[in-house]
Amino acid sequence: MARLPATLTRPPSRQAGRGDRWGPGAPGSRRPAPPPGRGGGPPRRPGPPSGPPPRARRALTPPDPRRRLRTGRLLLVVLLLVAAGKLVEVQAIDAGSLAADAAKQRMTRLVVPAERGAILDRNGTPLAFSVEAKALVANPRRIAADWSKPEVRAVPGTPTPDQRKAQIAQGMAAILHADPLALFQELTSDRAYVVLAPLVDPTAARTITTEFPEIASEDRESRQYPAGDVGGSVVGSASWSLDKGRVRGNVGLESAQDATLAGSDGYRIVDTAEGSDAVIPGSTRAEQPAQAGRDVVLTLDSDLQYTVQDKLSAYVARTGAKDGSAVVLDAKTGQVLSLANATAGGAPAPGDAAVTTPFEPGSVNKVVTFAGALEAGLIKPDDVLTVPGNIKVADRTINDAWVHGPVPMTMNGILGKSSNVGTLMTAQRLGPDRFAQMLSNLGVGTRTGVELPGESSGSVPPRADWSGSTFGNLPIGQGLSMTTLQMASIYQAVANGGVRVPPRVISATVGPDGVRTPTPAPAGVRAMSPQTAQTLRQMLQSVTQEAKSPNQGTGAKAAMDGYPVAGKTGTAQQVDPNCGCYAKSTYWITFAGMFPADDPRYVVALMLDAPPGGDSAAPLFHDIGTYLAAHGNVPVSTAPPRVVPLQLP
Amino acid sequence: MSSSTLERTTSTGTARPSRVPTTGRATSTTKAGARSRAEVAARGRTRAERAAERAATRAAATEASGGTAPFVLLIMVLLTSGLVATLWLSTAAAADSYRLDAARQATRDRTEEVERLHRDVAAMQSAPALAAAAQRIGMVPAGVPAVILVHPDGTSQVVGTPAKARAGSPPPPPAVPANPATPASPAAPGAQGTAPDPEALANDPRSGVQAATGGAPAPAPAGAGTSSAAVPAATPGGR
Repeated sequence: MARLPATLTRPPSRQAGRGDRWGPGAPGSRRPAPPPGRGGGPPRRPGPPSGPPPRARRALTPPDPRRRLRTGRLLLVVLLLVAAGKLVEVQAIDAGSLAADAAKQRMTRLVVPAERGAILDRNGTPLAFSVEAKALVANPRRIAADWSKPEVRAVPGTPTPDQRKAQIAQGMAAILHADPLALFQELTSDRAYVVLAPLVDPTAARTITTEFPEIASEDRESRQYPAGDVGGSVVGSASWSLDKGRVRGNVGLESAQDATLAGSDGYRIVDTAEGSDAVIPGSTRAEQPAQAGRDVVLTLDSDLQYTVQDKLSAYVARTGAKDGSAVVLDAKTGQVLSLANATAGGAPAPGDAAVTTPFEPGSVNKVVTFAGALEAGLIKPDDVLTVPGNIKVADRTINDAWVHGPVPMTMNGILGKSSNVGTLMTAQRLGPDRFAQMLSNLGVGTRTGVELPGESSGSVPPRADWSGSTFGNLPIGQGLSMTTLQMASIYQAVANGGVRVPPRVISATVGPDGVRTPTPAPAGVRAMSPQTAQTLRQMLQSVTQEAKSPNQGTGAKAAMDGYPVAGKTGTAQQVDPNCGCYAKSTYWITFAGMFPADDPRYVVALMLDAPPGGDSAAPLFHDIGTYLAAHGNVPVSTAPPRVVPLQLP
Repeated sequence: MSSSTLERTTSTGTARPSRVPTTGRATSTTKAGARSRAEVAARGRTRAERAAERAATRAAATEASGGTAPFVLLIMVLLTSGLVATLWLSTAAAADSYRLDAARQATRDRTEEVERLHRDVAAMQSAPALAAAAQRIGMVPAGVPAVILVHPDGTSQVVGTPAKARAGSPPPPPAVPANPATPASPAAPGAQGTAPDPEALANDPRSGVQAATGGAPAPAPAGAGTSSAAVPAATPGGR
């Protein structure tokens, strides 16, 4: 810096012939001008004339080179200072925010989608899983604009926008096996964004986007239900949510277990080229891998589920019921092996009525009365009671389902022939408190806690609100309501030696690493003693007893060859909304039972809503039971069917 | 003046080869600063003296050039080979990146195929598809089986009443898998998605499956593409 002006100024000094005076000053001094300048204007003026003639001429022409140089130098210094100042500002003061701005321009946060977990049945058969898919979208306005550009139109033979759209529609339709007309209509709509196909196989999508660059593809996840509607009411459904950018559960377990199934999306922070999504290789700054969702393993058995659904649908269709539901539980663990719903005509039901919709169970609830009476030691199966044709409870008179005078019946018979009068006589010996206790022991009126969404607790009038006639209704299963699942749970307690294990539908979850985490088994609730349960199971066999007229049980059609069946039929009058009274012709037909009665493996609960003919549900139990027996390899019993007197002469 | 300098240069160069130390002196002289130079200049012999020194230096350099040439050659060879190596490596890397890309594409295609096959297998082994396939080849569900029990003493007992399994009126099986992401891949057009099971290929899969759906939402693994494409809002599975 110092040297530059010195060398620059040297020539003029030499011209002046003062080299010797200049010598020492030049290298060190930043101001070569002063020595001669100090003399002021006059020494400078006389300088030129003393020099040689040609050089003097040159020095004369510019007013003063040194001043010019000084000005230039000053200017340079100022410029340098400005530049240095800016440098400091950019590099030090604003460095942070500028770097952030720059990063923002090229840094992109890419979401790495997490794969949604599958839903499997107890044997690992998939009921729901995800596959990668693409949505094909287009911008019809832009296609029209692009193909209408003058430079495009100038080329002869270029298709018009509509011709091009027709080409696209036909090309896509050929690959997608779709309707070209519908695609064409979408493409010709005056919109900026149309989804031409929501879920397309990635390979097909790539073929289309390569062939027609106007079509763009977006990432999607397609939820597959390979078994169709089998277990549909439990599994529910999920679909792509545009808001969340992922598959979201709509109903059923897909919705209830959404958090477990969804996993958590990962991200990648990368640099992308300006104005495009092209990732610059090696520019990954941070990466968080996606955490795939957990698989949910159900307790359902899809083969059984299919059969139960099938048989229930057929039965509902045949009886003309409005709807129906069926639940099969494992007698020991309370696991839901099958849970099916059907609507009128046998169509699969949209919701999950077996869990969400309570109904009055009717005589099925008599088991609560008898469990209470047995537990209290009030009755024995062979006790004989003279049962009149009707009984007056408070202000109401309750009849039996068939007309009869006073007849001597055993306790087996009262249960087996489903005598309302006999049951109420027993209930009155038991008393409302002990009955209410047994109801709550068996979980009536409380949710089972099954993982399915929207579970109903059913309803039992609070004990304090019981009027005189309430106790004439509840013991025979009117005036209270329960879901099919709750009904199954009651019988599961009887089947499991008195311990009610709340039913569950999820047996385990499997993480992305393959580690299986079993769902903790719910604690069992002792509802009655094992002896009571055993006696009750024997008494319940009277219901399916096949014998001569007075000794025929109400559910004889539920009996299975080789397997003793313990169960109970039920027929509950529905409330007629017009009169607010019990209707005379519309019923809830129920059946709940278990087999083999001596050591039950399965509990089945069935409900049919208002079949016009009032058909029993017992034949359906028989059908489901025979399948279960074969499916579950239940050993046949060689003992002859139990036949006990129900009604004494 | 200049010609004499040249002469002296050559003469000194040949006559006194060992002037190398002088070079050091000359350098020190140049570096010695303004004052010494001013003195030299003052003495008047400046130019001639300095020229002589410079010439000596040059001579020394010429002498040393015998060792420089191989070095320059070495550097050139190194540079050239480096250049060639760089070119070769970048070409190889580019070629590899093409191969990598091709391999990635192949992997992706295989992955997609695997996923598709998994989906098809899942659809085919599902209970409704199996039932439909069995029905199509004339199988009927077994009725109530009778069991023959053989007692330890050799006698046997038949439990239940054996009855012939009859087709009867097959109950409507629940809807068969809807296959939302359907469209058959271009690689195998119409094969997947259209026919979930081998038997179906023989018979008409669609009529066989659809006829049995009885009010259930159209199953149509084949037609799912159609319906989903035609109605963009359709949800997967149609449930």
